[in-house]
Amino acid sequence: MSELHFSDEQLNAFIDHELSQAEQLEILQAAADSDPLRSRLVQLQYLKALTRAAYPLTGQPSRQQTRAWTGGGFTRYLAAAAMGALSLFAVHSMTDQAPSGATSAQKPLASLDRMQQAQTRVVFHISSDNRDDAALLLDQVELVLKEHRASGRPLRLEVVANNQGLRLMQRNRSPFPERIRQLSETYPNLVFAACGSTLERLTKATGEQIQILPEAVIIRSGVSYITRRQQTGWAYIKV
Amino acid sequence: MKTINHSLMALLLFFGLFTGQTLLAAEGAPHKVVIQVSTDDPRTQTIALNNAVNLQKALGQDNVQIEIIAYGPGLGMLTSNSKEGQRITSLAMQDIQFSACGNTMIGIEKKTGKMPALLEGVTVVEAGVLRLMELQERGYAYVRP
Repeated sequence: MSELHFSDEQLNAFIDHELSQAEQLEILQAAADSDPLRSRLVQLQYLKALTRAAYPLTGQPSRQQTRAWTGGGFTRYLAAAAMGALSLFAVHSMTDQAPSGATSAQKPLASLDRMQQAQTRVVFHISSDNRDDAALLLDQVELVLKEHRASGRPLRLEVVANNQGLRLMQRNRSPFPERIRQLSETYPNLVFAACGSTLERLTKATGEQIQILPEAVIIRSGVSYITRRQQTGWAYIKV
Repeated sequence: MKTINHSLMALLLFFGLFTGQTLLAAEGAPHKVVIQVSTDDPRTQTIALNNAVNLQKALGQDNVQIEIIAYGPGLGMLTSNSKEGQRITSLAMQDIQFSACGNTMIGIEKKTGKMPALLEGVTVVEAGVLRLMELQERGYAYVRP
């Protein structure tokens, strides 16, 4: 069940070292218990390596190329340093030691953060089942996606639904299932995420299995997910 | 001659530092807050304005940069039909920036055939949501009353 909590988007972000410490740990722990999740991770990583091999950095003026390469080397060095510190941190937190490793881990992670800032990342939140709110949310999401695609700026956009807002992503109850399908199809950088705790609560209260739209992934808890997003520099917009 | 030159330089340096610092203070106030108004509920709109005024009071007008962004059903707050019109115009003169969503305005024009008239002191931004994202990326705290 645990592998269902992570979208390919998240797993790719994991492979690209774009996640926070907590998220990295969460995925690592889940992968330790799950064969399907491990194989999916390897698949994605393999795909990435293939893509890189197929599109080497060619066709640029030689001067720029050397610059790009040194830049790449430096970036790789930073990423390696961050990963090293991260694994140190992971060992520390797993062995329940004093968080002395945390301070040394924060420095390289800060530079990782700076590298991520070239990409705009925003999480939208809906917690009401008001139809107008849902319509406004989808309008805004589409506007932001369109604008970034037109200007060629990289963007990651996520919509998190919890409490009454879950209705937006419920099969047979969502007011705009077709629109969600179209948006997901048009924009691969868009993620719909439904709160697992709300789902559990609703299932218990109504006694029937609640179905989520196929475009949506299920996350453990909407609130803690949003908190982590904000901690790692995502913009937040509540509808 | 030399002493005149020196004192002139000192004077220039002094003013340079002084103006530089005041400019910095205006540009990089220690606190930056963006307030979202996306509902036509008058109570929420009043609370948004109260939040802004209280923040200025608590932190000092020079120490906090406040921008209120209205879009969707919230845009009405910044138009000539606003019940808080007078208050908003006077707050706009006290360093609170009001931004109206251009995208919403175009939507209203398409529907009614008339571009909504904005209050004195209100600026138009391309899209309210994009502005919200941009300001948060620049370190603004987000408040949604």
